[in-house]
Amino acid sequence: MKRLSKTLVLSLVLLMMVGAVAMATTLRTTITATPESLDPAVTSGENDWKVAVNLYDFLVYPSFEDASPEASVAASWDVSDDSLTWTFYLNEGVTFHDGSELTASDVKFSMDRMIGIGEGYAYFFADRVAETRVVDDYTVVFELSEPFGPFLVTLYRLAIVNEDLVMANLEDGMYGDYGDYGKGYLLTSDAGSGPYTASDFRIRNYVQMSKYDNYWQGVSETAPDVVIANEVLDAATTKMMMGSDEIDLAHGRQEMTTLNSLAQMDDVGVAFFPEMSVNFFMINTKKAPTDDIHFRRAMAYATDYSAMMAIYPDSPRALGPVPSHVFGYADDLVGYEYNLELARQELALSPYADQLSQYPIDVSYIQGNGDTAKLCLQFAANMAQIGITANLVEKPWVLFCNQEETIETSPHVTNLFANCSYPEAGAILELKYASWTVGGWNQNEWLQDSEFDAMITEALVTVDADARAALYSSMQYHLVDELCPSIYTFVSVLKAAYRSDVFSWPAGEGSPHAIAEFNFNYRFFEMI
Amino acid sequence: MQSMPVFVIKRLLYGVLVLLVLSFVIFSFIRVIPGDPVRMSLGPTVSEDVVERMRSDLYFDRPVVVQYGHWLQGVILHGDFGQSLYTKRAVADDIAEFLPRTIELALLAAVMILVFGILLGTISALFRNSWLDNTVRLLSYLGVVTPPYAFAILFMLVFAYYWKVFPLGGMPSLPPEIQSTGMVAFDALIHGRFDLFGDALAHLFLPAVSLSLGSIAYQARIHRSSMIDNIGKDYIAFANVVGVRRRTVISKHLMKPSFIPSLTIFGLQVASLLGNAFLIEVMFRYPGFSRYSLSVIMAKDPYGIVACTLIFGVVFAIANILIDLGIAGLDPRVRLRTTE
Amino acid sequence: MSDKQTEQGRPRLERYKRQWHKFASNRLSLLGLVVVLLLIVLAVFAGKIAPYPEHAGLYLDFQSANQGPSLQHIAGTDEYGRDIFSRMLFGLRVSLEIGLLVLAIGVPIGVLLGLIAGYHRNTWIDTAIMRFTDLFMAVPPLVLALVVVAMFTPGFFFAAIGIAVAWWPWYTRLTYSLVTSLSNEMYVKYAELSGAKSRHIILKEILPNAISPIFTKMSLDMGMIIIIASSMSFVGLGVQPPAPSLGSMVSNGIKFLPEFWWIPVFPALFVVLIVLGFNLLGDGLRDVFAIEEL
Repeated sequence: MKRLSKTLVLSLVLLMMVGAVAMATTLRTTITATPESLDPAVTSGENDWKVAVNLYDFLVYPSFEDASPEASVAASWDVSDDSLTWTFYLNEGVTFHDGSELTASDVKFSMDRMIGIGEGYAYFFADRVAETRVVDDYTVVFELSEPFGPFLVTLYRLAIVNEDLVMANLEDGMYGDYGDYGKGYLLTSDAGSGPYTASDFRIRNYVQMSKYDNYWQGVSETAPDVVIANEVLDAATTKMMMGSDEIDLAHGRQEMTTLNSLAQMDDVGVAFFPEMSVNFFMINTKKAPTDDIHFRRAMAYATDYSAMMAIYPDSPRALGPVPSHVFGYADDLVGYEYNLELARQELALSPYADQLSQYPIDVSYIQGNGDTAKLCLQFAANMAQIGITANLVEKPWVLFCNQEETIETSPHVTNLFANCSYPEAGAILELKYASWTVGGWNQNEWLQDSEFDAMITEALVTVDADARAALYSSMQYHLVDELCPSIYTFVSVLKAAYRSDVFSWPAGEGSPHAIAEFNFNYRFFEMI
Repeated sequence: MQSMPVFVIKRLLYGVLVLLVLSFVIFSFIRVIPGDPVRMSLGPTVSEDVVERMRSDLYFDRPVVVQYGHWLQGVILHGDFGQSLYTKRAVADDIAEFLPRTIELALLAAVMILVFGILLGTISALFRNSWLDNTVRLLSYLGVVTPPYAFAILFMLVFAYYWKVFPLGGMPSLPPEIQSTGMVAFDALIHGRFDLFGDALAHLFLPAVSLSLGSIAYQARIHRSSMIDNIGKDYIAFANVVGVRRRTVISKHLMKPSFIPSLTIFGLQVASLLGNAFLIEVMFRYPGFSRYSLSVIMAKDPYGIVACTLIFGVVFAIANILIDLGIAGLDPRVRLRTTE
Repeated sequence: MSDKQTEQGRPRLERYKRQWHKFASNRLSLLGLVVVLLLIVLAVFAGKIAPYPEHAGLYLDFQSANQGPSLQHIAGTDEYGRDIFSRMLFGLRVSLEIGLLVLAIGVPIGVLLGLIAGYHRNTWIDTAIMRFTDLFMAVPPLVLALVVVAMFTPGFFFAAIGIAVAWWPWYTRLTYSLVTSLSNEMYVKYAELSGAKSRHIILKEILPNAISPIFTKMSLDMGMIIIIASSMSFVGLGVQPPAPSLGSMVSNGIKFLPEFWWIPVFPALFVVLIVLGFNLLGDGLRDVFAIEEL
């Protein structure tokens, strides 16, 4: 009897151990859309990079507090005196998911590949990195054609891919000897060294990642073994899934009513993290009546900023195009406040003052987000207070982009979030206001200001950080005070509802990462 | 006198011709409307050379007729429908992934329509003017006038949220080793994976019901009125008088001719199935071909739109041919009649 | 079918009276008629009847947002604080307008082509027209409508055009089969024999007798068209905000389930009511005219 019960207990314990080992922890999340591709050289979207930061490694890694570059795959680096030669010394023992070691040759291949394909974030490097050289297995050199101040932080977008794996999976394509450069293969597979591998990817359905136990920096036991990201856009479904314990983490772009419902559920917490992104009312500066500086200033004074911020609670006010926590932000920007008196005064100075009824303005926004629609509705109501007629035009994404192709078809005002593709003021300043970026959704302003163009060009080649920051500041004064091409409402803050009884994460503990998508490096998550 | 094979072949050829013309019309139209899909897809930051290169690779810089010829050649010889700017991969791959799922959903819905529509219609006709008949008629009426998305909301609320009987949407995927046709439940079944089969069926059920309810209602009404018409006919009275058993009268003499107008309507229901599948797939997050088509249409993806229109046309044409065959099979008059 | 050609004046009046009696004897058909008339009144006088007509346009009042049905707001308010009942009435107007526009475009084209093809039956004209019609029937109507709208711009006008493009073939088919069967009637043969021109025959002999089935189909179609239009609004390719549209009210309201259920439910029920009315009316007409083709 005693022997039997002993065996029983032993087998039970064994079973439990086996069970515990077999019980992989799974983190179930939702995303607004599955990645367009798992290939880090062609994508530049939030949903793509939330996945990419798990699959791949970078030479340098942004710090949590302020996104400043820390050693990662590169243990250290040197810059030549003329700032044109950057030498990186790699760590040894970094392994790709297939077991092979990451060497300088892979880094060169990744950079060449990115420039060769020319999509995604390649525009950082395309005309600036003249040559990449392999000195030895652990030393790689980038020769720049001109100094590039933000170079180090743009390397957050250079994911290092496994050269051998990609070359072994080439298909026919338009890149000459390189065929399709592995685009077909990397669409659904990963060639990375990051803490997670892509174990399953169904387009428009879900992405599944599995923990890579041999990650060179080590992955904790408590990090989730499997992460599934389901594409769920619909609010009712999100609420139902969270309520019936089918998901643990919802994406951070819920509408306020949905978020409130989620937050009220048991054991659901909300993590806040600001994005390097501002909500703009982008004003077409080349089309009547918004081509007049006084008209635009009047609009800026007539906007009720607190009402806007009430639609997106907990969002800090933005006085200019650069989010306040980004390097190069001009601290003493004055900007515009809600003041109907000043608005009317400005409007009186405008040549269109007496003919307002003949100059209605179109306010266009992208279909799909109810809160953005509310902002525009609020804006139209504000404009009506000073006699400006605003017509709302909601468009699906593609048609919205189409209308931005020419000045005539671009509406007077569009409302959109624009963000920094690398953590410096220059990123958003260039994207939004440089003459060479017109024609896309990012710039409805059609600014085409030669003074600004000169300033941004100079800033980008300034290597000294302080000098660069000063240049960024002067650009912001020039824009906000002198040109007033946009109305700046607030900085975007993502709010992710999550099951606090299932896991904890840095963002949930009040220490979010400065760059939004890096909050989703699941290596730092702890399953409870 | 037409033989069956000749009839089918003629219809097929004719269908092919129609689809060729249609595809050419849509193909050309899309290239004429304003907007540059390649620039759209790549974004404003990509250099013009890269956009040009991709445009060239996709044949967008050639005259329309040349493009069409190249595309058609690709379709016929290699099954290559071009590259989707939306999913960034071959349209043929997208079709292979998404189409079977929608076909599976539509098949399930079609079976429901046929079975339940005919069943309810028959019951209604046989027990004419009873409470049973009146209930069915009322429900049918409500079914016909309610938009499919209203049913979808209702079912989601009741069966997936309040009574958690069915999953909230989506669809499980097949592990690669048991993928044959791409239809999840079907493949699971023929490979003996009953667990997966059950899971797939559970995910299919609510969407299929939402999709088919309106059509079941309509089918029931049509079948009912068709049977009632036939009940009054002379030959039925004759059969009854002569003493044929009621059961035989119903099954042999009544059902067959009643099927004919019923099946004609069924063809229209299939059309509405394919159309309504859009909304249902969107609401239930069902990763099917209709949802893909909607996305592709809204993204103005040239190769995608043409392929989707073509596929819908083909499926629709095949369904119609099958239905016509069914009608011909049932109605000797059709079979023996010479063509116009 | 009786020899309608010889009926004129009083006999025609008798015929209408008979038809009305037959129609009115069916309570459901009467109900349909009443509902449709009521809806038309509501739509036409929406501006007067709606308690808050300004809510159908640009209106924002977050204080009153998301309130349930009450005395001030029969159907509650939506997320912008707008009165749902008022918006439903204007949405009804939009739905009816789209239906009318679709029919106004699609029916004349479809019927005209059907008349021509039918009368010149078995000639190349017939074949050409019917094959052209087949082209548009090759894909399901909603697909075709969506493709058309996506190629231009979403909005009221192109949504109507899109649906009309998908709809006219059915009228051509119907008219064609009507013409074919009517052409065999005695009075048509008689007119041909006495040398009447084909245009006269089509317009004076055939068309008047084809009107009833066409009209019935139009009434039955209204419901279908309204559902398709609301489906298009549902996916965002129909009427654009802030103009109210029943379909977009439902699709935007779904995210408020289950707490603020009234936001999608009332518009959805209203759609059901509208379609119900037109269907009952259409069925009644079909019974009266004893049409088999529909």
